[in-house]
Formats: sequence, structure tokens, C-alpha cells
Amino acid sequence: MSRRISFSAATREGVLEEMRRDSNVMVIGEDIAVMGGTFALTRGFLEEFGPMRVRDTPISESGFMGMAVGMAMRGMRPIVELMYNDFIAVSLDPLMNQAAKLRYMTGGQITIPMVLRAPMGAGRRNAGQHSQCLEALFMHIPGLKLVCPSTAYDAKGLIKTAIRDNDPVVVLEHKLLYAKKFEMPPEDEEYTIPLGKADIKREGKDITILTWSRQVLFALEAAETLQNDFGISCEVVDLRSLVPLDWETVNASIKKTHNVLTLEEGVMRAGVGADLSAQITETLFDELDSPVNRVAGANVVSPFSPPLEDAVFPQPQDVVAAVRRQLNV
Amino acid sequence: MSKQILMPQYGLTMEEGAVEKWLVKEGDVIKEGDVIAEIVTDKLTNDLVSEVSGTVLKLVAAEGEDILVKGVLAIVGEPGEAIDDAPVPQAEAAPAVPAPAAAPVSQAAPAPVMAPGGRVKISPFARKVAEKNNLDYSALTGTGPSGRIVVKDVEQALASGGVAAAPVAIPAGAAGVAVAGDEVVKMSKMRKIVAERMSASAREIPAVTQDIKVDVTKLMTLRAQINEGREVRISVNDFVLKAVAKAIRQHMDVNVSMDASGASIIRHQHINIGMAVSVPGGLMVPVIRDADKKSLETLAHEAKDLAVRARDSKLDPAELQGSTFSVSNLGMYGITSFTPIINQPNAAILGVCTAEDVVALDKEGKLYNKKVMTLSLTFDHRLLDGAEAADFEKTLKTLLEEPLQVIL
Repeated sequence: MSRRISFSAATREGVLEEMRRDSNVMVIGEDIAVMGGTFALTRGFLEEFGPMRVRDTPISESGFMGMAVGMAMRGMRPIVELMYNDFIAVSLDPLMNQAAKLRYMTGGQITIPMVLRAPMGAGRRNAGQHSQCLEALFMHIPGLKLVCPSTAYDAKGLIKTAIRDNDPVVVLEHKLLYAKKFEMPPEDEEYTIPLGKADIKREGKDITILTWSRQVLFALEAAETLQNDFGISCEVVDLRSLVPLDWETVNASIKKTHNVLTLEEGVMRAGVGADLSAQITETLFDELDSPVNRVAGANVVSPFSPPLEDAVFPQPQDVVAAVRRQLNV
Repeated sequence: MSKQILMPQYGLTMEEGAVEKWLVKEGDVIKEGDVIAEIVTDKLTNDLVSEVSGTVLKLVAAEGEDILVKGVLAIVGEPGEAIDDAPVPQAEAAPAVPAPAAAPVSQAAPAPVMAPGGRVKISPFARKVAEKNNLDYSALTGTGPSGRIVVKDVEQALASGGVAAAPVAIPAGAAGVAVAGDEVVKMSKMRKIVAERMSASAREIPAVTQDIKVDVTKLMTLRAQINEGREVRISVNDFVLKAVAKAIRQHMDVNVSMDASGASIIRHQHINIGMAVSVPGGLMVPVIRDADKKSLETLAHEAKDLAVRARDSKLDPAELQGSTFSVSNLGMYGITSFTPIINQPNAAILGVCTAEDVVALDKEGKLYNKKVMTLSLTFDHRLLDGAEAADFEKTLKTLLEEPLQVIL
């Protein structure tokens, strides 16, 4: 029997299963133990696993990020939670200069099997310091893996794989996905999703939309409109994992549609789409029937005003307009 | 070292032009700033001013020959200097020319496939497919953005037997056939452009025409009073232009264009009125900018000046661009109603008809004579609805029937 649960409940299930499976897995972050997390993701964990594996911390991101790296070096599997991905700014050094680099710099003697979970994204009127999508920033650091699920099913399957991975994996979860409910297999049916495997969320033949996280839902909405109103068939490729990237799926989709649009909520300048576009142009130039087109957030600080905020990041109608422009329909 | 004189680009949308007349001949000594030829483009004749000094060694372009922008027109150097007699590469390495703007603010001609400089705009994938099938794609017409040839165009050409299909095939029955005695005349550049624009407008716009009758008795009297003793007379058309500008200010919903995406409406803030002027062999629509901010007298002067210069082909290309509404007047020919074609990207055009004598009854039942003029408004039903257009026409009627309101 199928069941419908929220994105956050699915993520919780994934973490819970892994904590029961492996006693080295622990969670650490602000308000996660007694309070159970801002999005109730770790509710009940303290009671089940005790304070040694479910650690509340002071507001000290740099400190507990460093602790997690140290624990991971000693064989534990910490899951660090940042309340917002924006707070990476105060805690980046342990992640960027230690976690991401130690395996390489010790010739493989040390691995850092840690996971950083962080909510991201705009749409909740959280203003400039709590609304960013920072995928591009993490992607730019060699040694980090980066996962951005869009559905409950993917969230659970990917967090489990991330926890089992022996390298640092960053999992960015869009805030406005947490409450969304999705179809799920039964609770006792265990599954994982490998990193670096995209998922074609909608098949199509005229244009490929490369996207991830919440924008997958927008792309699907736009694809429906484009099909019904303009007869354009969109293939929506949910990249799911940005590092490693499933180039094979991207490549096959572009060779089928010959038109590509990248779609992300983060700002366009030096964004993920810029890099995807460059890779595609370098390797698939002769397959392109139109220039790679980017739809992304405006290059501005996320506004607090609701109408302004909604205007700043892509909405489904922006995708519809961009596809029509690209295909001149 | 000899220098080349190239075809200049007058205005963003110019792609090619021709030397109408050389004003110098080979062997003449010219200096920088000299006018050396008359260049005719789509609609205009311009003076070609030399940017170099020297002796004209060779006139490369024949009079009347179409030359792409940046194509070589003449070679200037020292007397007796040897010039490379190899075929002069036309427009080789031409600098990038701004792509024909798709935005409705400019009145760009349909985008050509052959970009200035002879490069064919084709997507990499379309080219790959064409080359694989040995298809000569240079004659295809692109349907992609900016007229780029996309794979669909190549596939269509291949499907039709590799023959480059004309973009808008004329059905066999619609084409004229010359029989003995008929004369076949090549269309002038202007005729072609008028033809293209009219076809595009008629094809793309769901147009509706609504006539309204206006009592212009008072207007005629007022005009006669104003013109008494004036050297430059104010025409009925000037009154109409002024009234239109005023009426638009009260109904800004007619001062709109559709944007390139087709998904948004541009609400223009300036009221720039295009004025259709009949010229030998065609039609031009010079633009009176901010017509609502100009006095009747200024407007009349400007309209007259634009019309005269339009007939003499002396308009600057910029003066033909940026209209937000157009007016076409056939009143002087006695026309009583017509359905003007919208001047894209405007949302509407006003046809002005003749003022006719009409017998009417006054309140006491006595017959009297009044002058009635019909205004035919054609509007783009995608952008405007009948009621909005009617409202605008009603305001226009009210203004013209109380003509002091037009002047105030």
C-alpha cells in the first residue's frame, strides 16, 4: 500500500533508519535535541538515542562544524544541521579547508564521512540573510558532494546514501518543500538512491529543462502549461545530485531534444546554470538547436517584501515564457 | 596604401543599400567630408560622406547594385597606386551588427537569414543535420529566434525534397501570371517593405474596425477663423492629430504594444503619433513625438515638415521609428470610410475620412446643414476590446465637436 508523507517526514525516516542501523551515526546542531529541530525533523531522537548521539549546541556554527569534522576523522558519522544554509558563512573553514581536503592531503589515510544538512531557499519572506540558495558556492569546492532532492522519496533515499558515503556530503533542502506531501513506498520497504544519478521527472522531446530541488515542481507545472497551451513537449531532468553530476542522463536528454534550459532559484550570476551551460556548449555544441538558456534568480539580495520576493526568483510562468522565447513559439 | 569606402549603416535595421548615383568618378581627388554618392536604402536617400581623402582609384559598386552593409563601394588611394584586383570580398569580417530587434519598440523589418556580412544564422545542430544530408541551407528561411535556421527548418526542407522552401509559400492560385502585353516590373525596395509589413500585420493581428461619425461644423468654422491671415495654414488633419494625442492621454490603454514574447503588453508612456504619408511608389509613417505635449501650431509645423521631407526622401531613419499610434488620412480624396491596416507594433490606427455636408433637423424641426466626418479606428483585438476602443473614439468625437477643447 502506498502512503503519502511530507518531505521532512521522509528525511526524518531516512536519518532515523540510519541511526538505528549504525551506532556511529549522530546528529548535532542548534535546537535539534530538546526542541526536535526547527522543522520537527529530529523530534523524538533525543529520547531514542540519548544526548551522546543527539547533541544540542550553542549558537556556534563554526565550533560544532569543527567538532563534526573531528568526530568524522575519528570514525563517527556526524550529521550536522545548519538552521539555514546562509549560516555556512560563519562555519565554512572546517568544511572547506578541512573536511573537503583531508582525504586528498593525507593520501587517503583519513576520510570524513560527515553530512551537512541545511534548509535553503526563498518564498518564506525570510529576507536577505535567510533566503539564499547557495548550491554554486558548495559546488565550487572540490572534495564536497552536493545533493538537492525535490521529493520525499528522493529526500529519504539520498539522505541514507549521503550518511553511508565516506566523504563529506552537503544536502540542501528547500524550506518550502518540507511540508509538501508525496507518494512513498511502505515504511518497511528499504531503499537508497545512489549519488550522481539524475531522475527524469517528465519525459519530453522538444526541450530539456535541467533543474533540482523546489524548481523541479515549477518546471513540471510549466511543462504542463507548455504542453497544453503551446504543444511543446518538455523533458524535466531532476539532477538530484549536483556533485557528482549525472552527465550520462544530461547528455542523452540533450541528444534527444537539442534544446536546453537550466532552471535554478539561486542567483544567475556565476550560478550552477552558468557551469552547466558551459559544459554543455563545450561538449555538445553540434547537438544544440538553440543557445543554452538560463532561468535563475535575479542578481540581487532577496527582498523582504512579498511581491518583490516573488518577482526575484523564477516562477512557473517565467519558465513558460523562457521556453517560448527559446523555441520562438 | 589604398583604403576602402564601405556601405554605411543608416539605422539599426539597415542590411543593404545601393548607390543611387555616384557624384565622383574614377580619378577624382576627394577629401574627407566630401559628399561622394547618394545611397538609397529601404526608404531613404542619404548622402555618402567620405571619411578618407585621396584619389578615387575604383568605383566598385555599380549604380543601383545592392550592397550589404560594410560591403565595399569604392577604393581610394594615391594616383597610380596598384590596387588588388582580386574580387573584393564583400563584407568580409564585417563588424557585428546589432541583431534586428524583436522588441516592438523598433519597427524592425522581418529578420533576415543572411546576417550582414554574409553569415548564415543557423544552429549548430541544424547545420550538422543539413551537412549530413548534403542540403544547401544558405537559402533557407529560419523560424528560430532572430530568424535563426533551426533543425525544424532543415527537416522541412529535406522533407520537401531538399528544395529550400519559401517561408510563406504563395498558393499557386494566388500568384499573378503575366500574359502577352503585360508589363512585369520589379518591386522597389520600398514596395517590398510595404508589402511585407502589410502582410505581417494582416496575418498576425485580429483587427477590428469601428467607425464613428463626428460633427465637424464647429471645427471647420474655428479652423477658418484661425487660418484667416495665416501664412501656414492649420489643416483638419492637424486638428485630428492634436485631438488624437489628447484622447490617448485620457485612454492610455490604446497606447500599447505586444512585447516580443507575446506574453506581455508594453504600456508606452510617450504618445508618439505616426502619420501616414503617401510618397511616390509607397508609403511612409514619420513620427511626431510626444504629440500630446505640443501646441497645435507646433504640431502643424512638424507635420508639414515631416510630410515634405518624407516626399523628398530626406527623413532620418530615427524619424520613422518609435510610433505608438498611427493616423492615416484619406479625407482629401473624398473617402467616406475605410479599414486601415495597423502599423505594427502599434495597437491601433485611425483612418480619417472626408467631411461631408449632411442635412439635419434642429430642435424646432427645421432643416439645417452640418459637416460630418467619419473616423475609422482599426485596433488589435489581442490588446484592446471593442468597448475600450469605443470609449476612446467617443472622447475623440467629443473633443472634435467642441474644438476649443482641442486647442486648450
